[in-house]
Amino acid sequence: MTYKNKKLFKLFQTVDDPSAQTIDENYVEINGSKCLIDSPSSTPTLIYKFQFYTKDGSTKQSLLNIKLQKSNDNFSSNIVDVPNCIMNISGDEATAGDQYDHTVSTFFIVENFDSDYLRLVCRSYSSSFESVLHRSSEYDGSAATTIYYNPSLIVLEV
Amino acid sequence: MTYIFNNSLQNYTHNVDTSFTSSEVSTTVELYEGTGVTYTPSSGASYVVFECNLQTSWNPDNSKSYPCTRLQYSTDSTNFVDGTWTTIAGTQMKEGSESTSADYMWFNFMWVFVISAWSGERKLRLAGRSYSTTSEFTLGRNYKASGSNGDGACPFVSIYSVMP
Repeated sequence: MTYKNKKLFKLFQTVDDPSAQTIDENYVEINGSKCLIDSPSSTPTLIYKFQFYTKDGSTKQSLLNIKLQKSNDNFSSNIVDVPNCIMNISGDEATAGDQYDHTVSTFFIVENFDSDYLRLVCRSYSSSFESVLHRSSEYDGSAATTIYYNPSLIVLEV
Repeated sequence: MTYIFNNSLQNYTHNVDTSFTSSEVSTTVELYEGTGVTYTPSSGASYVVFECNLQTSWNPDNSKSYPCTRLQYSTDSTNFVDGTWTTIAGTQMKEGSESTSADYMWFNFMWVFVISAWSGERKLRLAGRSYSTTSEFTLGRNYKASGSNGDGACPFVSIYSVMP
């Protein structure tokens, strides 16, 4: 019988008091979603779980396009979309004024990871569906209360 | 046979409240029933992860539903209701939706909080209120195909320590 103390990569991180990110039609990195994968394995299988808060922007509707990307140079010049690791987030979008505020829980499994970094990027579907991430001015009946939700990232090698 | 030890995540505790009943939430901050946990982090832990899955429904306000939720802790509460409660920074959110017409929205929330570890025992809970009297909601409602309310859909809570 063999007992192994196997070291698997794990990462837990959060961003305290994040600035608001206004999401328009250009893809942008979601604050707190980037990480360096420092696994002893050359091709680990990873569970990537990232949670963040989003609310509708000035148009009071939101539709986010989200995708997972990888890089071997900290997203300097090598930026690759991870195949099929994509998602859309929206509420009722029938008419302007259909507001939607929500925490978003992403969950991706990346097999045979062959790079160094992972991150999430997002954009709005169009200028009519812009979003604001991480912060809100509405809480407990007041429209002038600043609250924030710390984005959190968990990456586990399995 | 090979056994692989991976003790990076320790001291798991969970909540499944099988006596849970649904309840309407209005504009007074209150305990989300079924989310209270008494917890002492493992010695030397860097983080504590608190995860909760919870369901809300639109009623009584069919065009708007806005829970304002937060994670709190107490060192003197005896029952998750009394005592002094401190809101943990970065865990506040106003969630839900509103519509220009009645849309009867239901939400399933999956919250994950990665918070710094502490020493000693604390009680943790999720607490919240509706944003306004026109955006009230019901915690854990279960509405069956026969058109009647079923058993309450209880929150599920998992909490564990992350070792460096």
